Amino acid sequence: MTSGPRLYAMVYAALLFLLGATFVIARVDLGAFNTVAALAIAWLKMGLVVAYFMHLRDADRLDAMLFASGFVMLLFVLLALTLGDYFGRVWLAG
Amino acid sequence: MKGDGMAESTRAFAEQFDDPLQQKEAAQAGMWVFLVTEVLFFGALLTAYTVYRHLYPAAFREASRRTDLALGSINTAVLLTSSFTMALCVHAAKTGRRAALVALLALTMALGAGFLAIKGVEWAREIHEHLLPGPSFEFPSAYPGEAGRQAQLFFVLYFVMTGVHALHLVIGIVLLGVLAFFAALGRYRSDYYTPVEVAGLYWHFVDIVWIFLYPLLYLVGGPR
Repeated sequence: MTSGPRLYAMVYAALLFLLGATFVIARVDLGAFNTVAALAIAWLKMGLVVAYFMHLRDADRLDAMLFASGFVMLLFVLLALTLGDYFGRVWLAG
Repeated sequence: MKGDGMAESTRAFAEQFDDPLQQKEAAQAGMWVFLVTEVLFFGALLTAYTVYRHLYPAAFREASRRTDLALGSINTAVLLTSSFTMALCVHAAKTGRRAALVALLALTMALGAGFLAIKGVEWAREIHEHLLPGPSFEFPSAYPGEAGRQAQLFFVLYFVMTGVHALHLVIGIVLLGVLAFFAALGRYRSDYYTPVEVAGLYWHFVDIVWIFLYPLLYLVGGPR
């Protein structure tokens, strides 16, 4: 069962379950953990869409590498370096 | 290959490729490269959001509570459903079921249009409530001083991010319309459906962008 309507339906059900979960968790005050949980669920949903709907699980290695490169650039170059600057200013000021 | 007249006249792929599989893989890789640039495009907005939310956490929480959580959540479900039907489109194309493909493409387009309609209702309501950044922006805040300006920044990001996402969705709907037209003419067969597959990648990507916008814009307010 690499792909097909049955698998897609299961992934779709999982996505809706995760949407419900993120909605319910957001209604409970968990402090900073609210954001962590919301983003963790978003990453999980993305993983399901990419692996099963976009067939990255069965795609060739070039596509997987391109996908990975996008996230390396986003997370490490764009986010990490920019946030390192903004978050680091507080330490310098202190 | 040049002297082979039969192969020249019946080939179903462009001459720069060795075989149909290589052409298909090139098309897929091309879409993935484009999606990487799209990750960075939306990534810049996400970075701006992260920086300002870090700087003004209280104002962002309060501003986020003014978004329409019910409509936003329904819209997330609508878009996830459209991704499901898009995956079924690709499967219908792969198995060579032309009528099912056209119907599923139309259904996916309808779900995308439904998302835009709900988004339009939200925007209209927010503009009516003076939440559109600009001279008419009004934000009664429990926090004195700069909180209004900081909340305005949240809504700048909100309108730009949801606006650019909606633009991507409009492009996706037009794309699927073109595919539906050609699918109805019978251009796609079980051995050639690359355009459907590649458009599917784009559609799922637009869905993924929303998967991140939903918690960042609607859920940061915490319990309402």
